Amino acid sequence: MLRPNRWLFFGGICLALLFLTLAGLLRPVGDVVRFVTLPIVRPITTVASKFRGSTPALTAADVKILNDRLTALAVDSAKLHALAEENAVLRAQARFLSASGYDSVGGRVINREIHGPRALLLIDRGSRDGLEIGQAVITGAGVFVGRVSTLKERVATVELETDMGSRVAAAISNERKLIGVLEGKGNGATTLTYIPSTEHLARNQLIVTAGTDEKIPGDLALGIVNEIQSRPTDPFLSAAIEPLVRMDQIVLVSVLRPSAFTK
Amino acid sequence: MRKLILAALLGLCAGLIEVGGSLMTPWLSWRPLLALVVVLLLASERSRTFAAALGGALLIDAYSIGAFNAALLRWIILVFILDFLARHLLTNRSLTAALAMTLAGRLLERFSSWIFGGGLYGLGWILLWDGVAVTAGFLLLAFFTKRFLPAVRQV
Repeated sequence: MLRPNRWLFFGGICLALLFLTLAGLLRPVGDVVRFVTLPIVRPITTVASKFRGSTPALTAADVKILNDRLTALAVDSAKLHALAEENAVLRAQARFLSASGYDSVGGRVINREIHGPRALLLIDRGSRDGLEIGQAVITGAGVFVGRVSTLKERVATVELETDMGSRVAAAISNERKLIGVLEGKGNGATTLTYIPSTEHLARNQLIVTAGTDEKIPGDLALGIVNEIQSRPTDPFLSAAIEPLVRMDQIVLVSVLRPSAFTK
Repeated sequence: MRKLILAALLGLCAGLIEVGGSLMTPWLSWRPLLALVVVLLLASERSRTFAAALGGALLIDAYSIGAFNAALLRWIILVFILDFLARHLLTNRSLTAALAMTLAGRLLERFSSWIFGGGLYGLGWILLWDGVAVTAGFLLLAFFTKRFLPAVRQV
Protein backbone atom coordinates (compact mmCIF):
# COMPACT_ATOMS: atom_id res chain seq x y z
CA MET A 1 0.00 0.00 0.00
CA LEU A 2 1.08 3.58 -0.58
CA ARG A 3 2.17 5.48 2.50
CA PRO A 4 -0.32 8.12 3.70
CA ASN A 5 1.89 11.02 2.60
CA ARG A 6 2.09 9.54 -0.92
CA TRP A 7 -1.69 9.32 -1.05
CA LEU A 8 -1.82 12.98 0.01
CA PHE A 9 0.70 13.87 -2.71
CA PHE A 10 -1.27 11.95 -5.32
CA GLY A 11 -4.56 13.50 -4.20
CA GLY A 12 -2.99 16.94 -4.26
CA ILE A 13 -1.81 16.51 -7.83
CA CYS A 14 -5.25 15.31 -8.95
CA LEU A 15 -7.02 18.21 -7.25
CA ALA A 16 -4.54 20.71 -8.67
CA LEU A 17 -5.01 19.35 -12.20
CA LEU A 18 -8.78 19.36 -11.82
CA PHE A 19 -8.73 22.96 -10.62
CA LEU A 20 -6.37 24.07 -13.39
CA THR A 21 -8.51 22.37 -16.05
CA LEU A 22 -11.81 23.75 -14.77
CA ALA A 23 -10.38 27.26 -14.38
CA GLY A 24 -9.04 27.13 -17.94
CA LEU A 25 -5.50 27.84 -16.76
CA LEU A 26 -4.14 25.00 -18.86
CA ARG A 27 -5.51 26.61 -22.03
CA PRO A 28 -2.23 28.44 -22.87
CA VAL A 29 -0.42 25.11 -22.59
CA GLY A 30 -2.89 23.59 -25.04
CA ASP A 31 -2.41 26.55 -27.43
CA VAL A 32 1.36 26.07 -27.39
CA VAL A 33 1.02 22.32 -27.93
CA ARG A 34 -1.31 22.89 -30.90
CA PHE A 35 1.01 25.57 -32.35
CA VAL A 36 3.96 23.15 -32.25
CA THR A 37 2.22 19.94 -33.29
CA LEU A 38 -0.40 21.04 -35.85
CA PRO A 39 2.12 20.89 -38.76
CA ILE A 40 2.78 17.26 -37.76
CA VAL A 41 -0.83 16.27 -37.06
CA ARG A 42 -2.06 17.51 -40.47
CA PRO A 43 0.01 15.06 -42.60
CA ILE A 44 -0.74 12.22 -40.17
CA THR A 45 -4.49 12.82 -40.51
CA THR A 46 -4.07 13.10 -44.30
CA VAL A 47 -2.60 9.60 -44.37
CA ALA A 48 -5.06 8.25 -41.78
CA SER A 49 -8.07 9.59 -43.67
CA LYS A 50 -7.16 7.31 -46.61
CA PHE A 51 -8.03 4.38 -44.32
CA ARG A 52 -11.38 5.73 -43.14
CA GLY A 53 -13.31 2.85 -44.63
CA SER A 54 -15.34 2.61 -47.80
CA THR A 55 -19.02 3.12 -48.40
CA PRO A 56 -21.07 -0.11 -48.52
CA ALA A 57 -21.93 -1.58 -51.92
CA LEU A 58 -25.21 -0.39 -53.44
CA THR A 59 -28.10 -2.77 -53.93
CA ALA A 60 -30.50 -2.62 -56.86
CA ALA A 61 -33.10 -0.98 -54.62
CA ASP A 62 -30.59 1.71 -53.60
CA VAL A 63 -29.80 2.41 -57.24
CA LYS A 64 -33.48 2.84 -58.08
CA ILE A 65 -34.00 5.23 -55.17
CA LEU A 66 -30.97 7.24 -56.22
CA ASN A 67 -32.14 7.38 -59.84
CA ASP A 68 -35.54 8.67 -58.73
CA ARG A 69 -33.86 11.34 -56.63
CA LEU A 70 -31.61 12.28 -59.49
CA THR A 71 -34.60 12.83 -61.73
CA ALA A 72 -36.38 14.96 -59.15
CA LEU A 73 -33.24 16.97 -58.47
CA ALA A 74 -32.58 17.48 -62.18
CA VAL A 75 -35.94 19.21 -62.50
CA ASP A 76 -35.19 21.38 -59.48
CA SER A 77 -31.74 22.12 -60.88
CA ALA A 78 -33.18 23.40 -64.16
CA LYS A 79 -35.54 25.74 -62.31
CA LEU A 80 -32.72 26.91 -60.05
CA HIS A 81 -30.49 27.61 -63.03
CA ALA A 82 -33.07 29.86 -64.59
CA LEU A 83 -33.66 31.65 -61.29
CA ALA A 84 -29.94 32.03 -60.73
CA GLU A 85 -29.45 33.76 -64.06
CA GLU A 86 -32.28 36.16 -63.35
CA ASN A 87 -30.94 36.76 -59.84
CA ALA A 88 -27.47 37.58 -61.14
CA VAL A 89 -28.83 40.24 -63.44
CA LEU A 90 -30.93 41.81 -60.70
CA ARG A 91 -28.12 41.75 -58.16
CA ALA A 92 -25.66 43.31 -60.57
CA GLN A 93 -28.17 46.11 -61.15
CA ALA A 94 -28.80 46.68 -57.43
CA ARG A 95 -25.10 46.20 -56.45
CA PHE A 96 -26.34 43.94 -53.67
CA LEU A 97 -23.83 41.12 -53.86
CA SER A 98 -20.78 43.14 -52.80
CA ALA A 99 -22.60 44.29 -49.64
CA SER A 100 -23.78 40.90 -48.48
CA GLY A 101 -21.29 38.43 -49.89
CA TYR A 102 -19.66 35.60 -48.05
CA ASP A 103 -16.26 34.06 -48.48
CA SER A 104 -14.97 30.83 -47.08
CA VAL A 105 -11.92 29.43 -45.38
CA GLY A 106 -10.99 25.81 -45.96
CA GLY A 107 -10.25 23.45 -43.10
CA ARG A 108 -9.17 19.86 -42.58
CA VAL A 109 -10.80 17.50 -40.12
CA ILE A 110 -8.22 16.40 -37.54
CA ASN A 111 -10.46 14.62 -35.07
CA ARG A 112 -13.93 13.19 -35.15
CA GLU A 113 -16.50 11.99 -32.59
CA ILE A 114 -19.46 10.46 -34.35
CA HIS A 115 -21.26 7.84 -32.31
CA GLY A 116 -24.63 7.68 -30.60
CA PRO A 117 -26.11 11.11 -29.97
CA ARG A 118 -22.90 12.99 -30.70
CA ALA A 119 -21.65 14.12 -34.08
CA LEU A 120 -18.71 16.51 -33.77
CA LEU A 121 -15.64 17.31 -35.84
CA LEU A 122 -12.44 19.12 -34.90
CA ILE A 123 -10.97 21.21 -37.72
CA ASP A 124 -7.58 22.90 -38.00
CA ARG A 125 -8.96 26.45 -38.23
CA GLY A 126 -9.72 28.73 -35.30
CA SER A 127 -10.31 32.29 -34.19
CA ARG A 128 -7.08 33.53 -35.75
CA ASP A 129 -8.55 32.54 -39.17
CA GLY A 130 -11.59 34.78 -38.65
CA LEU A 131 -13.95 32.03 -37.51
CA GLU A 132 -16.83 32.77 -35.17
CA ILE A 133 -19.20 30.57 -33.22
CA GLY A 134 -22.34 29.85 -35.23
CA GLN A 135 -20.80 30.12 -38.71
CA ALA A 136 -21.98 27.64 -41.31
CA VAL A 137 -19.72 24.77 -42.34
CA ILE A 138 -20.13 23.19 -45.77
CA THR A 139 -18.44 20.46 -47.72
CA GLY A 140 -16.59 21.16 -50.95
CA ALA A 141 -19.78 20.47 -52.94
CA GLY A 142 -21.64 23.23 -51.07
CA VAL A 143 -23.71 20.98 -48.82
CA PHE A 144 -24.35 22.31 -45.30
CA VAL A 145 -23.01 19.87 -42.72
CA GLY A 146 -22.99 21.85 -39.47
CA ARG A 147 -21.91 24.97 -37.66
CA VAL A 148 -18.98 26.08 -35.52
CA SER A 149 -19.88 25.33 -31.88
CA THR A 150 -16.68 25.96 -29.90
CA LEU A 151 -13.63 27.97 -30.83
CA LYS A 152 -9.97 28.07 -29.85
CA GLU A 153 -7.17 30.03 -31.42
CA ARG A 154 -6.08 27.38 -33.94
CA VAL A 155 -8.84 24.74 -33.87
CA ALA A 156 -12.61 24.73 -33.81
CA THR A 157 -15.32 22.20 -33.06
CA VAL A 158 -18.06 21.73 -35.65
CA GLU A 159 -21.45 20.48 -34.47
CA LEU A 160 -22.80 18.42 -37.37
CA GLU A 161 -26.46 18.57 -38.36
CA THR A 162 -26.96 14.98 -37.08
CA ASP A 163 -25.81 15.90 -33.54
CA MET A 164 -28.59 15.76 -30.94
CA GLY A 165 -28.03 19.43 -30.09
CA SER A 166 -28.21 20.71 -33.67
CA ARG A 167 -31.12 22.93 -34.77
CA VAL A 168 -31.23 24.65 -38.17
CA ALA A 169 -34.08 26.63 -39.74
CA ALA A 170 -35.08 24.95 -43.00
CA ALA A 171 -37.00 25.67 -46.17
CA ILE A 172 -37.99 23.75 -49.27
CA SER A 173 -35.65 24.28 -52.20
CA ASN A 174 -36.92 27.02 -54.56
CA GLU A 175 -39.25 28.39 -51.89
CA ARG A 176 -38.15 31.21 -49.65
CA LYS A 177 -40.35 30.65 -46.62
CA LEU A 178 -39.37 28.93 -43.38
CA ILE A 179 -40.98 25.49 -43.26
CA GLY A 180 -39.60 23.93 -40.10
CA VAL A 181 -36.58 23.16 -37.96
CA LEU A 182 -34.06 20.47 -38.89
CA GLU A 183 -33.15 18.67 -35.68
CA GLY A 184 -30.33 16.21 -35.23
CA LYS A 185 -31.38 12.85 -33.81
CA GLY A 186 -28.00 11.17 -33.44
CA ASN A 187 -26.87 7.97 -35.20
CA GLY A 188 -26.65 9.83 -38.51
CA ALA A 189 -30.33 10.84 -38.61
CA THR A 190 -32.12 14.17 -38.85
CA THR A 191 -35.79 15.13 -38.62
CA LEU A 192 -37.61 18.17 -39.93
CA THR A 193 -40.07 19.23 -37.24
CA TYR A 194 -42.72 21.93 -36.76
CA ILE A 195 -43.88 21.61 -40.37
CA PRO A 196 -47.29 23.29 -40.66
CA SER A 197 -49.92 20.74 -41.55
CA THR A 198 -50.98 22.92 -44.49
CA GLU A 199 -47.62 22.43 -46.19
CA HIS A 200 -47.29 19.73 -48.83
CA LEU A 201 -44.06 17.84 -48.61
CA ALA A 202 -43.15 15.05 -51.01
CA ARG A 203 -40.51 12.35 -50.90
CA ASN A 204 -37.17 13.22 -52.49
CA GLN A 205 -37.74 16.95 -52.11
CA LEU A 206 -34.57 18.91 -51.38
CA ILE A 207 -34.50 20.78 -48.05
CA VAL A 208 -32.24 23.83 -47.75
CA THR A 209 -31.30 26.35 -45.07
CA ALA A 210 -33.92 29.06 -44.63
CA GLY A 211 -31.44 31.88 -44.07
CA THR A 212 -33.09 33.03 -40.84
CA ASP A 213 -30.27 31.78 -38.59
CA GLU A 214 -27.60 34.33 -37.86
CA LYS A 215 -24.41 33.63 -39.82
CA ILE A 216 -26.00 30.81 -41.87
CA PRO A 217 -26.92 31.93 -45.39
CA GLY A 218 -29.99 30.56 -47.10
CA ASP A 219 -30.25 27.93 -49.88
CA LEU A 220 -27.50 25.66 -48.60
CA ALA A 221 -28.55 22.05 -49.23
CA LEU A 222 -29.42 20.15 -46.03
CA GLY A 223 -30.91 16.83 -47.12
CA ILE A 224 -33.62 14.91 -48.94
CA VAL A 225 -37.11 14.16 -47.60
CA ASN A 226 -37.24 10.45 -46.89
CA GLU A 227 -40.43 9.79 -44.99
CA ILE A 228 -43.22 12.10 -43.82
CA GLN A 229 -44.67 11.35 -40.40
CA SER A 230 -48.05 12.70 -39.35
CA ARG A 231 -50.92 11.89 -37.06
CA PRO A 232 -54.43 13.35 -37.39
CA THR A 233 -54.23 14.96 -33.92
CA ASP A 234 -50.87 16.66 -34.48
CA PRO A 235 -50.89 20.33 -35.48
CA PHE A 236 -47.46 19.91 -37.05
CA LEU A 237 -45.94 17.34 -39.36
CA SER A 238 -42.46 15.92 -39.16
CA ALA A 239 -40.31 14.32 -41.80
CA ALA A 240 -37.22 12.13 -41.74
CA ILE A 241 -34.51 13.90 -43.73
CA GLU A 242 -31.61 11.97 -45.16
CA PRO A 243 -28.31 13.91 -45.14
CA LEU A 244 -26.63 14.32 -48.51
CA VAL A 245 -23.18 13.32 -47.29
CA ARG A 246 -21.87 10.64 -44.95
CA MET A 247 -20.67 12.53 -41.90
CA ASP A 248 -17.99 9.96 -41.06
CA GLN A 249 -16.40 10.42 -44.50
CA ILE A 250 -15.88 14.19 -44.31
CA VAL A 251 -12.23 15.15 -44.55
CA LEU A 252 -12.23 18.70 -45.95
CA VAL A 253 -14.71 21.45 -45.11
CA SER A 254 -15.22 25.16 -45.74
CA VAL A 255 -16.43 27.64 -43.13
CA LEU A 256 -18.52 30.50 -44.51
CA ARG A 257 -17.62 33.83 -43.02
CA PRO A 258 -18.85 37.31 -43.91
CA SER A 259 -16.51 39.05 -46.34
CA ALA A 260 -16.16 41.95 -43.92
CA PHE A 261 -13.70 39.82 -41.94
CA THR A 262 -11.31 39.13 -44.79
CA LYS A 263 -8.09 41.16 -44.85
CA MET B 1 17.11 12.75 -16.71
CA ARG B 2 17.81 11.77 -20.30
CA LYS B 3 15.68 8.65 -19.97
CA LEU B 4 12.88 10.73 -18.46
CA ILE B 5 12.94 13.09 -21.44
CA LEU B 6 13.09 10.14 -23.83
CA ALA B 7 10.05 8.60 -22.13
CA ALA B 8 8.17 11.91 -22.44
CA LEU B 9 9.06 12.11 -26.14
CA LEU B 10 7.88 8.54 -26.67
CA GLY B 11 4.64 9.52 -24.97
CA LEU B 12 4.28 12.53 -27.27
CA CYS B 13 4.81 10.29 -30.31
CA ALA B 14 2.18 7.87 -29.03
CA GLY B 15 -0.16 10.81 -28.46
CA LEU B 16 0.42 12.05 -32.03
CA ILE B 17 -0.48 8.63 -33.43
CA GLU B 18 -3.60 8.52 -31.23
CA VAL B 19 -4.74 11.94 -32.40
CA GLY B 20 -3.81 11.53 -36.06
CA GLY B 21 -5.10 7.99 -36.35
CA SER B 22 -8.51 8.84 -34.94
CA LEU B 23 -9.85 9.34 -38.47
CA MET B 24 -9.13 5.76 -39.47
CA THR B 25 -11.81 3.16 -39.73
CA PRO B 26 -12.31 1.43 -36.33
CA TRP B 27 -10.71 -1.86 -37.30
CA LEU B 28 -7.48 -0.05 -38.12
CA SER B 29 -7.60 2.55 -35.38
CA TRP B 30 -4.59 2.06 -33.09
CA ARG B 31 -4.12 3.84 -29.74
CA PRO B 32 -0.56 3.10 -28.64
CA LEU B 33 -0.32 5.21 -25.47
CA LEU B 34 -1.71 2.55 -23.14
CA ALA B 35 0.58 -0.13 -24.59
CA LEU B 36 3.56 2.18 -24.03
CA VAL B 37 2.47 2.86 -20.43
CA VAL B 38 2.04 -0.84 -19.61
CA VAL B 39 5.40 -1.84 -21.09
CA LEU B 40 7.18 1.00 -19.26
CA LEU B 41 5.48 0.09 -15.97
CA LEU B 42 6.78 -3.44 -16.22
CA ALA B 43 10.22 -2.67 -17.59
CA SER B 44 11.16 0.73 -16.21
CA GLU B 45 10.72 3.19 -13.36
CA ARG B 46 7.42 4.70 -12.36
CA SER B 47 8.60 8.27 -13.03
CA ARG B 48 9.31 7.46 -16.69
CA THR B 49 5.88 5.92 -17.05
CA PHE B 50 4.30 9.10 -15.71
CA ALA B 51 6.40 11.20 -18.08
CA ALA B 52 5.26 9.14 -21.08
CA ALA B 53 1.62 9.21 -19.97
CA LEU B 54 1.68 12.96 -19.40
CA GLY B 55 3.30 13.58 -22.80
CA GLY B 56 0.63 11.59 -24.61
CA ALA B 57 -2.25 12.93 -22.50
CA LEU B 58 -1.15 16.50 -23.22
CA LEU B 59 -1.66 15.91 -26.94
CA ILE B 60 -4.95 14.07 -26.46
CA ASP B 61 -6.22 17.01 -24.40
CA ALA B 62 -5.02 19.57 -26.94
CA TYR B 63 -6.95 17.89 -29.77
CA SER B 64 -9.98 16.68 -27.85
CA ILE B 65 -13.45 17.54 -29.04
CA GLY B 66 -15.75 19.08 -26.47
CA ALA B 67 -15.17 21.51 -23.67
CA PHE B 68 -13.85 19.21 -20.96
CA ASN B 69 -11.87 16.06 -21.53
CA ALA B 70 -9.40 16.10 -18.60
CA ALA B 71 -7.09 13.60 -20.32
CA LEU B 72 -4.17 14.67 -18.13
CA LEU B 73 -6.09 13.94 -14.93
CA ARG B 74 -7.51 10.66 -16.26
CA TRP B 75 -4.16 9.32 -17.37
CA ILE B 76 -2.44 10.20 -14.07
CA ILE B 77 -5.09 8.32 -12.14
CA LEU B 78 -4.88 5.46 -14.63
CA VAL B 79 -1.09 5.11 -14.24
CA PHE B 80 -1.44 5.12 -10.45
CA ILE B 81 -4.05 2.37 -10.58
CA LEU B 82 -2.03 0.27 -13.02
CA ASP B 83 1.10 0.74 -10.90
CA PHE B 84 -0.85 -0.42 -7.84
CA LEU B 85 -2.02 -3.48 -9.78
CA ALA B 86 1.52 -4.26 -10.94
CA ARG B 87 3.05 -3.98 -7.47
CA HIS B 88 0.39 -5.50 -5.24
CA LEU B 89 -1.91 -7.77 -7.24
CA LEU B 90 0.07 -9.23 -10.12
CA THR B 91 2.58 -11.76 -8.96
CA ASN B 92 5.18 -11.53 -11.71
CA ARG B 93 6.32 -9.61 -14.76
CA SER B 94 5.01 -11.89 -17.43
CA LEU B 95 3.21 -11.46 -20.73
CA THR B 96 -0.01 -12.59 -19.07
CA ALA B 97 0.37 -9.89 -16.43
CA ALA B 98 1.02 -7.32 -19.14
CA LEU B 99 -2.12 -8.34 -21.04
CA ALA B 100 -4.18 -8.30 -17.83
CA MET B 101 -2.96 -4.80 -17.05
CA THR B 102 -3.72 -3.73 -20.61
CA LEU B 103 -7.28 -5.01 -20.40
CA ALA B 104 -7.84 -3.34 -17.03
CA GLY B 105 -6.22 -0.13 -18.24
CA ARG B 106 -8.26 0.11 -21.43
CA LEU B 107 -11.55 -0.53 -19.64
CA LEU B 108 -10.67 2.12 -17.05
CA GLU B 109 -9.59 4.57 -19.75
CA ARG B 110 -12.78 4.08 -21.79
CA PHE B 111 -14.97 4.29 -18.67
CA SER B 112 -13.31 7.55 -17.56
CA SER B 113 -13.63 8.93 -21.09
CA TRP B 114 -17.32 7.94 -21.13
CA ILE B 115 -17.87 9.92 -17.90
CA PHE B 116 -16.63 13.02 -19.74
CA GLY B 117 -18.84 12.43 -22.77
CA GLY B 118 -16.77 10.02 -24.81
CA GLY B 119 -18.03 6.69 -26.12
CA LEU B 120 -17.27 2.97 -26.16
CA TYR B 121 -17.20 2.98 -29.96
CA GLY B 122 -14.93 0.35 -31.50
CA LEU B 123 -13.76 -1.02 -28.13
CA GLY B 124 -13.34 -4.53 -29.49
CA TRP B 125 -10.87 -3.50 -32.19
CA ILE B 126 -9.02 -1.21 -29.80
CA LEU B 127 -8.55 -4.08 -27.31
CA LEU B 128 -7.30 -6.33 -30.09
CA TRP B 129 -4.68 -3.80 -31.21
CA ASP B 130 -3.74 -3.17 -27.56
CA GLY B 131 -3.02 -6.88 -27.14
CA VAL B 132 -0.94 -7.00 -30.30
CA ALA B 133 1.05 -3.90 -29.32
CA VAL B 134 1.74 -5.00 -25.73
CA THR B 135 2.73 -8.48 -26.85
CA ALA B 136 5.09 -7.10 -29.47
CA GLY B 137 6.58 -4.56 -27.03
CA PHE B 138 6.99 -7.14 -24.28
CA LEU B 139 8.65 -9.69 -26.56
CA LEU B 140 10.99 -7.10 -28.08
CA LEU B 141 12.08 -5.86 -24.65
CA ALA B 142 12.47 -9.40 -23.33
CA PHE B 143 14.58 -10.38 -26.34
CA PHE B 144 16.87 -7.35 -26.41
CA THR B 145 17.18 -6.44 -22.73
CA LYS B 146 16.58 -9.68 -20.80
CA ARG B 147 14.74 -7.60 -18.17
CA PHE B 148 12.02 -10.15 -17.61
CA LEU B 149 14.24 -13.14 -16.98
CA PRO B 150 13.88 -14.50 -13.44
CA ALA B 151 16.85 -13.92 -11.15
CA VAL B 152 18.72 -17.19 -10.63
CA ARG B 153 20.68 -17.56 -7.44
CA GLN B 154 23.76 -19.74 -7.48
CA VAL B 155 23.83 -22.25 -4.67
